[in-house]
Amino acid sequence: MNNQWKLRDIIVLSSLSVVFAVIYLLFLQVGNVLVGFMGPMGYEVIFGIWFIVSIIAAYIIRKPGAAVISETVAGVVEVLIGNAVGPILIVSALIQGLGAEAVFAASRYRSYSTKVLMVAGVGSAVFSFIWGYFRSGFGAYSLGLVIAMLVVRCISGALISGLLGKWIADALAKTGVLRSFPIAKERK
Amino acid sequence: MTAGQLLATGRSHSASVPAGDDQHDSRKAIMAEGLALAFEEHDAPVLANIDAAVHDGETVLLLGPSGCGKSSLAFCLTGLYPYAIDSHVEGRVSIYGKPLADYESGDIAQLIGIVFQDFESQFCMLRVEEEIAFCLENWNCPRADMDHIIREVLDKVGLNDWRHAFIHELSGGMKQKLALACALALRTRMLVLDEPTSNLDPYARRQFANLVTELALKEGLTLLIIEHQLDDWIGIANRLLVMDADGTIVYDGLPAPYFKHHVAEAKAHGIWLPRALELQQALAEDLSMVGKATDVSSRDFADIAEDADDPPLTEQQLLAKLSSLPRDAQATALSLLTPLKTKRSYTEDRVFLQAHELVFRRKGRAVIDGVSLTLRAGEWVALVGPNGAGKSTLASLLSGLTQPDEGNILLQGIHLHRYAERELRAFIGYVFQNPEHQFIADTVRDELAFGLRRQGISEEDVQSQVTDTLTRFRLTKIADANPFALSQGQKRRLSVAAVLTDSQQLLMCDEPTYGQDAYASKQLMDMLHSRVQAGSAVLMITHDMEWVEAYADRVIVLSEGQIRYDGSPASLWTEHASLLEANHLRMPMNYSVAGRLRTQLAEGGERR
Amino acid sequence: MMLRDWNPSIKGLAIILAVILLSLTFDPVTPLLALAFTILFTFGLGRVPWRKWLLGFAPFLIMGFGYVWTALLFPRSADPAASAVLWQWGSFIVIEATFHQALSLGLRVLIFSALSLIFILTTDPVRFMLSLMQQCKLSPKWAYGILAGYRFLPFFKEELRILQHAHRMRGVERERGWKNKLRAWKRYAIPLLASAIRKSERVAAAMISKGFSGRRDRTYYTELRVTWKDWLLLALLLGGITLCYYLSWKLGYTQWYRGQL
Repeated sequence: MNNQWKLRDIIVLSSLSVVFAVIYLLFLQVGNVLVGFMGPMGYEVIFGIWFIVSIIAAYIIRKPGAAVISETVAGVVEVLIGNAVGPILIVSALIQGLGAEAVFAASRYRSYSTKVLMVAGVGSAVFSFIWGYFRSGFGAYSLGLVIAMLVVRCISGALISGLLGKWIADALAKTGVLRSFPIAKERK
Repeated sequence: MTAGQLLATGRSHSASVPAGDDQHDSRKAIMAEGLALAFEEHDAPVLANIDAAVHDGETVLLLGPSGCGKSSLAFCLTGLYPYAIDSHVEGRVSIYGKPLADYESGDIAQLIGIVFQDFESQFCMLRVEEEIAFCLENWNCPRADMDHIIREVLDKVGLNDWRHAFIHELSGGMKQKLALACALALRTRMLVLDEPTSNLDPYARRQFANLVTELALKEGLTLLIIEHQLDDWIGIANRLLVMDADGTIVYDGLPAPYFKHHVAEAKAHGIWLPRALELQQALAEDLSMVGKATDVSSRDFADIAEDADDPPLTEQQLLAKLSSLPRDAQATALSLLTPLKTKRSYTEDRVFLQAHELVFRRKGRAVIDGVSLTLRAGEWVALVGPNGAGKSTLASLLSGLTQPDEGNILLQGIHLHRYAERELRAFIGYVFQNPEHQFIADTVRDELAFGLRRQGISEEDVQSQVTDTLTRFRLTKIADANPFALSQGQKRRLSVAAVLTDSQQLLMCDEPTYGQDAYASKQLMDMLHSRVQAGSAVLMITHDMEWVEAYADRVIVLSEGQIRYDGSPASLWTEHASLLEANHLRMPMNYSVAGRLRTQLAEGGERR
Repeated sequence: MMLRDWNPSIKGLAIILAVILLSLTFDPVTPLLALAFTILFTFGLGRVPWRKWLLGFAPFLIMGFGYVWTALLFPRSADPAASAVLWQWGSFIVIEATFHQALSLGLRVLIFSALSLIFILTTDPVRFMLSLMQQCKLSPKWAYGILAGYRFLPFFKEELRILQHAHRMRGVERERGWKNKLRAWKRYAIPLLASAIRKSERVAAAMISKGFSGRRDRTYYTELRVTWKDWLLLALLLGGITLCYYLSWKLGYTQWYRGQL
């Protein structure tokens, strides 16, 4: 396996992040307001969307480090675009990416089955939750709510980033644009 | 150079090659021997057994049918394959006498610069100045020199006023000029132009070609040009390389003999002929007919039909050829060049759409400023104008995609906004510039079925109609392919086939020939033409006046959101020539040749 | 103007440190003071347009409100014996401690966004990446690669707008039901992603054709340096926040994060 990152792969990571940022803008404008009225719990439901880039990138590029690097790049891109969460987002993204990366590492970067992708989504969810617990002060919430939030976030990670991510990446592979990426080579 | 002169070797770049005098000839900018390319090890090769050379100081034009691997060849010759893009390359390539593999990464860039087709995606920085600086930094240019080099190269391409502008705000033509400036900043000796103007409008195309010609002369640049539309380049080409669909070179020599002896072959390959040559051929045909009918000495016309001279490839050469004819023959040619088209007698003078005093504002500025127009059944209307004139906005207003701020639109006498979305879409079809934007299904078959299913037709009928459409548009073989995986021409056919359900009476087309080759463009135009003859109306946005001349019944010139002209194409070319230049439009070649011939005749009359 | 000239790496570091520092408190007064200080800092040292700032800040007011009521409804400990009861509505009791914590979480959202806006509104993307290369030793291959992708932002926005029109012309109507919504979402995502990947490959080739090798030893047209002024601004921001802590402690409000899990 060639672990050297090529310029092309880096730009692909970056532009995929840009595309998702643009799509978020379209679909989350209304969502954001809704989340405000539903509280943090509403945010948990869609939280998995933040990991989708790293799951898709890892699934397409299939290299050690793909998940954590792509999530971090996505974080940098979000900051460049002007996401109001600001530079701390890079740190958050790094931590989230580590969660997914841990799962891929545990599978020794050999399996990219639906199951592994969904577990990777859960991995990101757990890592991000620990970080969010500290940063957003979840300590002030009742234990029941905190556990419920964690469960919802894990489900969101598995479904939105794992399952939806795979669905999108597979559909993308069918268009032929991924011809020269590991995902297409494996499909043969 | 012929293939026989070169040794065909199958060795790859990495194999060490003994240095022979012939291989290390530095007067050859690029030399390739036995070059073959495949994307995957066991795939069919894209290029096979290519022997080619570009000599220092030459201008070489590389032609071939769409999808034959012209760009791939150019990328192989400059080392992008296999070093930047995964691929399997065999054979040997040397650049200025040195094998490709012996170059450090980044060094080739200082010898050969490339201008790419997709002007959106060849930059990595945000502002003009930063992009040039990026190039300079790549060869470790001392920081103290950067400022004046940036100024110098921007001056050469005429972009100095845009030094601090954002690249994405530049027009396509300016972006290509910036790409040229980058090559100059890299101090290259050679330029590879990979269809640099196929996504530009004709006006920007000519500007760019003139700039390249001037720079090549001034800087002594070697040029390798790949382009579908030959007209702006054929005049400066010293040599022609022609590829066939299998990715091999079938012609290597002077341009004129090719177009003299291989025209049929070129046509069969879908290679765009120089417009001047087409005009000459059409003239020759007409003249011989006129000759027979009027008994003018037939020798005059034999002159233009087939003589020992080279065929005219540029407007200038055609003009020279026509000027050499006797005066009476010139007069005949003149009338044949600009035939008076009889205005189409509409089968029914039915008004489809009427727009009254439309105004549309964006950020407080009136993008459409008081536009009124009428579209009738059986009419082909061309909507033309400079970039940013509001053409797309107007089309989107007329098709009900956006609402005007003022004014109203009547579709068959009823206000547009009173139609249900579904009724509207059944009446108005819209062909977008980029076919991919319209795709919504996973296979070609489903793409065609989508619209039919929406109409609530039984599945059986849907299938039979889809099968019929597949045959009609020659898509049967790829019925189960993913729409995104098709070739450019197939994508265009599919997108049009999917839009055209039989009920649509009004078709809006936004630059449908953008990025398409000669063959695909012609096909599309003929398809639309048959719809017009069947009584539909077509409103087509285009920059290409040759299409307007060939197909449109009426032309509307839009500029700064206002209509400057609405009438027949012929009278636009002849009576409103000043409007053309002001709005960055290029007169069709038959009219511009005729105009110049007429002037010459008038002047020459006194001399003789 | 000073905030614009602040070295982006140091600016980013200062803001990340400030965020972490403020994550340690659970009382409402510290973040409130810090918010006031941050606003003062932003408008005192940078020419930041009010409208833009408010536009970025407003969504967080709503979000902060969500945090407040959730913390009121589901508090960690609502033992009425521990502190004064503020109000009671059936079995729903709000005690003072809970109210303070809830307010603190809401204000935390606001102060974080105010801090972020310092960065977002005063940092040029290119300078940020240049600084990551020149100060944080990020490899040029990554920095320019990320910029090359970022550059497509306006292009994809425009492409999405055209896609919406084109799909409407094809007769795709407003989708109902989550399954159809998902399909609609995919119909936008696939063309955009496909074009992103194609464009990425092209721009990578173009960059290499311009002699970009990714080597670290390169000259820079724009050289960013770190001077004492950059560190002074960092000290000012963090010092200001520390002062807020001190004031709040003096007033007897400070409540530290006590490792609740």
